[in-house]
Amino acid sequence: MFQSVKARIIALISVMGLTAAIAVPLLSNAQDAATPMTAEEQIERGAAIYYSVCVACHQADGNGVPGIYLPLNKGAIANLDDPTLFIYTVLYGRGGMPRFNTTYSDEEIAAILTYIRQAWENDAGAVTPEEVKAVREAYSATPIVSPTPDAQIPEGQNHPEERQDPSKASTPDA
Amino acid sequence: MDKTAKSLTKGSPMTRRRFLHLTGAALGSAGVLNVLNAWGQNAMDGLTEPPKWDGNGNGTKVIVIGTGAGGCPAAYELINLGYDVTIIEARDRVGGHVWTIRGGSSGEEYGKGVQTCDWPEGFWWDAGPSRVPFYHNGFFHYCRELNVPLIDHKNLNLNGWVYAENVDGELNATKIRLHEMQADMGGYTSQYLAQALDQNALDEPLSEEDLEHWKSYLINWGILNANDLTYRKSDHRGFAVLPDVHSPGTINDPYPLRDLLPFADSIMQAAGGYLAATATFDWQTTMVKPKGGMDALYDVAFREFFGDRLHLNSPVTKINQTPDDVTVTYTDSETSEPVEITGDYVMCNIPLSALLKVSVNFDEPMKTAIRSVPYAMALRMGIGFKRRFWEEDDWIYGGQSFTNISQLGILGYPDDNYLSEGGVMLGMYNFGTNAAYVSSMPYDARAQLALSLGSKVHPQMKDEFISAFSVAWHLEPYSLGAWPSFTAESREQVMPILQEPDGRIYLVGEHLSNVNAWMEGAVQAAWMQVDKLHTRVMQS
Ligand SMILES: Cc1cc2nc3c(=O)[nH]c(=O)nc-3n(C[C@H](O)[C@H](O)[C@H](O)COP(=O)(O)OP(=O)(O)OC[C@H]3O[C@@H](n4cnc5c(N)ncnc54)[C@H](O)[C@@H]3O)c2cc1C
Ligand code: HEC
Repeated sequence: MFQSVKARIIALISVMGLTAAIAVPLLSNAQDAATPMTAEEQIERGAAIYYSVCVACHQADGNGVPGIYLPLNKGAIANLDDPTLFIYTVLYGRGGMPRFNTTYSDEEIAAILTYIRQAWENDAGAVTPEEVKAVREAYSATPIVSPTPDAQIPEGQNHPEERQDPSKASTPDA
Repeated sequence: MDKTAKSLTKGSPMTRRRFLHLTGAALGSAGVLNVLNAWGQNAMDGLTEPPKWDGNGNGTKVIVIGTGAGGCPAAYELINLGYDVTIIEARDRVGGHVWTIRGGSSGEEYGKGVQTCDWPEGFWWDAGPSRVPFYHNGFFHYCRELNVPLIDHKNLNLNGWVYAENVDGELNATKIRLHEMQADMGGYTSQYLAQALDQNALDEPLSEEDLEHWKSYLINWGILNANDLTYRKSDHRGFAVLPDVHSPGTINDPYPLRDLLPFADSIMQAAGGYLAATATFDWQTTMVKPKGGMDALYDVAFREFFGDRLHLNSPVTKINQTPDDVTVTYTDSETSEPVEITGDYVMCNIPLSALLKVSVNFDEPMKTAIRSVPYAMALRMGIGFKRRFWEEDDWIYGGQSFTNISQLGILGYPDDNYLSEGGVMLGMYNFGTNAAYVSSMPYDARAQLALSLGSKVHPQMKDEFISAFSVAWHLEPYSLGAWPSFTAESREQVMPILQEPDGRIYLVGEHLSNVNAWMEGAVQAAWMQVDKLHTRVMQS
């Protein structure tokens, strides 16, 4: 089921390109919170946001730009069984990763993460708005206490030593 | 003084005027001035120049990394204090977020390839900071020191356009002049308030005298008929036919309130930050900027002062400190080989977003503090045009036009060389998800989008287009964001850690300051950090 929706969205995006026409509805965060999204709607909405916002940095293939925009594909924190760190990062950001806590609702954050967790070569479970709400509330007043002990972070993702020389990290045409 | 003022007035029916009169009589006129200060009437205290330092650095070796609005004054003061200063900059220019674009400028955003500007001689446009408020005395201090001439930055031009679409009423998808909207909204608002006052309909205990003052104020402010308190049209809102040698001209009727309300409300919501921003403390007239571009202070004046202490094209990849010294590794611009230099201290101006990409042996609290600050997204585009249609056709000399199109934001006009041949307009300025979305496009597609949106205000755009240059600050190497986006809580928790040295490494930059997203914040941070370092060296 996920596959077919995903295929549809990718087809849609490649046919239309990222034109202003589709971006306007995509960018609005007026999600009706009263009616929870179905799994299909979650994927659709999540993909719509990914390909109009996250894509600017993490690229269409989710591989980002080496050493700069960390990959969301394969082995990345996106795939951890416990989505807390993933949710936290998207809500509250870190350095060049902006925060989206004031932009998106719990439903929308859950949708984006659910989409990413089954996109490309990823294979992890859906994220619920309740999980997002819990992380949002747990860290809202103490932003500096991030749930990011290095031990939780997959090898090679966030240790400065492992990162490439920033001067060589640009990948034109990615 | 503050205390005196409070205790004297507390519980007493004394009017302010009487109080000032009394204290003035006792203290002389200087006394009156001080009391006014204490009451916030004239309170403009703040940093206006660097501290007066004693002593000499005597060749203590400081490596300054980064030449932004923070790194430059830090290096400048340290050099003048007798330190042995080496300045390492990743880019091929001095200024960091300060970046003036001209023909020949080029850049390469992550994932977007190279873009090169081909505007004709004489065109210039600031991709980053473009305006300085009247009270940013640290910035002015260096303009004075280094002889950088300043010109006006016209933030507010009432002849600019306002355009709103997807709104109810007859004004939908039309453009009107800012002076029309301002006069009409002021007029109607005054009318209804004055009429309510007249009928004593306000739930406020106001004396007869208060009411009269307020009504009279509204009559003059809103241009009302004194008799029936209705808004009457006046030349404040402009003319349909201008006065000329033959006739006194004709004033247009005001827009009907019903049409104006949804339009004006939408503009205030969408561009409220801007519209209000033309009259707030920070953005009020007069704002200023260096003549010919912001980089006159950085890439010209500071650069010349630094001379061969400055190493451009030298991105730092690693900072390693020991109890005795600190070693900085950077990539040499010519050989592409890593170079190590060792000094006594480092003054590190790298934005926190880009600093996460450098390997530094900071202590845990500093590492956590740096990670906890996300940066905001912003995209600005300069568009070069063959003809100054905004001046020739629309009679707009400098300032801005406002729209409720969130992808477009505002349009900004050059403040110099009026009626010359062609020039650069700020053709797009957006933030957050709008900036992310537009920045995901190739440079050309961004420009096409800006032209199609901007043409709603200036249909001349497509015909007069030369080329555009856009900068998505979140995609710029060595910036990785427009400015840090603190919250009140994170500021409180993080700032004390960022502001203290971690061993031999001092951070410096706007991210250490409460003057958020202004160059002035970086200047003041430089003074603070130089002060800390110099005090330490003098004591050791
Ligand atoms: C779109 C926009 C509009 C703005 N408008 C205004 C305005 O109108 N007025 C105003 O006063 N302020 C404005 N600001 C804010 C202003 O630009 C900043 O506050 C200020 O320039 C920040 O200076 P800084 O020294 O802290 O950082 P930066 O300017 O970022 O300086 C950091 C320096 O470190 C260098 N660097 C980074 N990484 C490395 C590395 N690895 N090795 C060596 N060097 C490195 C960079 O190249 C840069 O030179 C604006 C900002 C933006 C983005
Ligand atoms: C402006 C560019 C930008 C945008 C847009 C952006 N990110 Fe990021 N993201 C980054 C950067 C830079 C990092 C790495 C931060 C660092 O240096 O540690 C990052 C890191 C992350 C991480 C952590 C990865 C890890 O391994 O630690 C996640 C998860 C993430 N981003 C998800 C998203 C999602 C989801 C979106 C869209 C809603 C998004 N990002 C939009 C720039 C961006």
